Amino acid sequence: MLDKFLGIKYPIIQGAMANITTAQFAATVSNCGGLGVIGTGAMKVDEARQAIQECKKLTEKPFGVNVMLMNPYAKEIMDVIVEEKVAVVTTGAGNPGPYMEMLKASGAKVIPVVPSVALAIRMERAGADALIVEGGEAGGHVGEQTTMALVPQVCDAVTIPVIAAGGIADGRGFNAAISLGAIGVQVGTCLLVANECPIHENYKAAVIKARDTDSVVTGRSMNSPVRILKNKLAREYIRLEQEAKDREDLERLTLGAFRRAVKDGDMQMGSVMIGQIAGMCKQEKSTQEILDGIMEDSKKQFEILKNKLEELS
Amino acid sequence: MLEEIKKVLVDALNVDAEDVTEKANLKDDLGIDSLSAVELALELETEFDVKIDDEELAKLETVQDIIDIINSKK
Repeated sequence: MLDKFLGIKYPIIQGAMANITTAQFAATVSNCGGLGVIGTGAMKVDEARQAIQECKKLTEKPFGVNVMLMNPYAKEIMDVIVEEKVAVVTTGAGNPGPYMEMLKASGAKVIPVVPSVALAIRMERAGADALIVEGGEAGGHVGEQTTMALVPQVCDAVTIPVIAAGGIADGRGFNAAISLGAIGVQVGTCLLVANECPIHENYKAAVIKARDTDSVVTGRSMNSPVRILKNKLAREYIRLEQEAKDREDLERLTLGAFRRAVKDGDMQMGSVMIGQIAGMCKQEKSTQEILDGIMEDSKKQFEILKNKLEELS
Repeated sequence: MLEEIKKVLVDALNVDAEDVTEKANLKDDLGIDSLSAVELALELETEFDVKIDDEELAKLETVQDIIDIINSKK
């Protein structure tokens, strides 16, 4: 299981969210028994170095750094990760193949996020230590496949460990992921409502208020699908997409929109990234309560599951 | 060679055989996005017993590019 694999208490990775999962929040998650992950997003090299050093000061536990490979400073950030001997590197928006050797030589475990079987196979071949297999239920940048369908297919196709992500927020989701063949999970949306999560209070309130159908995927026409809260921005964006407006019109609409959501608390014209499971996150809690809750619920749900399945035999 | 490549494209990605010409652009004419391109790479590797690395894969733009890369590796 993932806890042994990473040397942490709970088999849970905190999904990297740029501008949200800061050094401080990642350290909090690691201190609470999960794997905190700093989302470096569009950070410059010095910002990334500073975040890593800050996180080290705040926790003795392993933590990870997520690198968005489309970041023009991705290469330099990888160099910093090697220098600082970060325990785990997760990657998104591209192929970490070129960095695999140097990262592994530094002792880091490399865990790319993959949205398809074909990419999973290539990542395994390139030397990935494990894979985060993320379904489109997740918030933010997503693939088309669902967690339910994708995770078992990837598990069948590779021999390295698989971590399931997308749509998981309680013990039932956790147990389901394990049942599909994963050794652990990555969660994001359910941590948005953590007391320690540094998002605007309006953002937190929007997650708590969200129902099952309150998120929508925008940007499919731009080949960059992003799941966000269905607000004025999302509706406007989708209208422009349907009218097949120019890239520029769409880009103008979303320029700075994520910052508007996270920092300014603009819930109408901000890009409020949330997963489908937001409908289940009803209450602000401490990070510790959220992580403990998933694992306690997992045990409870396992008994219920066992009883149900035994009825069959 | 075009016929063999066409077969892979049709079998693996459900591309319309009629659209597959040497000049066809993978993205614009055949609608192959980056995820499908990874799929395609795996199929080509199996079919022709070659290895296509990431940089090579990223450079493929047309059907002719595929023909060239396979020929260069055989």
